[in-house]
Amino acid sequence: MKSYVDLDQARKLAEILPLESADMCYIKGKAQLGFLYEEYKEFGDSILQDYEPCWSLASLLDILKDNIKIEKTGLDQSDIFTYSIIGDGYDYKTHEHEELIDACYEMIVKLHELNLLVL
Amino acid sequence: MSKTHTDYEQPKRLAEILPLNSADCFYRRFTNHYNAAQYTLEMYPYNKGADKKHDLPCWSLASLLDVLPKEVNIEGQRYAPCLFPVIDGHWLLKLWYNSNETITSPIAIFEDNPVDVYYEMIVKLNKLKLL
Repeated sequence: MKSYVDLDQARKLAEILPLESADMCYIKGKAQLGFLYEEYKEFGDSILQDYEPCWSLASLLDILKDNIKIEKTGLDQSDIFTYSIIGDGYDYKTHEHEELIDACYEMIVKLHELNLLVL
Repeated sequence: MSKTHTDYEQPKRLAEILPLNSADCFYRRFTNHYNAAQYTLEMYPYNKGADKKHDLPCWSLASLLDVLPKEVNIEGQRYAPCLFPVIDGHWLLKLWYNSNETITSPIAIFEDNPVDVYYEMIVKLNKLKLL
């Protein structure tokens, strides 16, 4: 079960997404997660000295919801729990992942590469 | 900003349905200057960091996905939960069976965020003794 993107994914997303869409943060120097959104609204970019933005599953779904539909693996594949995402009109399907958040991450990166990400 | 975790009310119901070790975080209770109870969300598993007497278990969206069975058997037919974003920012979670000829869906939940649709589906399946 993975609720938030890992640090490497978060750094990649920070290059793609507006930072105000991040609802979590990694606290620099500590293996610790915190909430970012309220602090970002109040202090803006200055908080990035101490925090690295991080995105929860809910926030990534929020970003993707306008142009994707989400599929679970078919009933015949009962041995592993995977997801895939199809871009609406883009005919793009991610690889299957055991974690939905990894599929969301892959989709955002892919849409960004194709210059199709709607924010 | 979309809801990322169950709110203060939902854990009371979920705690009756789900094992507490499935709660991946918790609300820590404290009393403010006006002697009113307040809660802060702590990002540690309920079973590891919470004061069981006062704190409330909490489930993230990912943990709700994790506890929902990947298949539900209704009268001999297997259905899979599928989540769909729908128009105007709402979300639809439905159990469905998709054969080449027919698509059937005996249970569907419609809410404005994924946390609530998964919460409502878990409560509904529990009520129907399908969880």
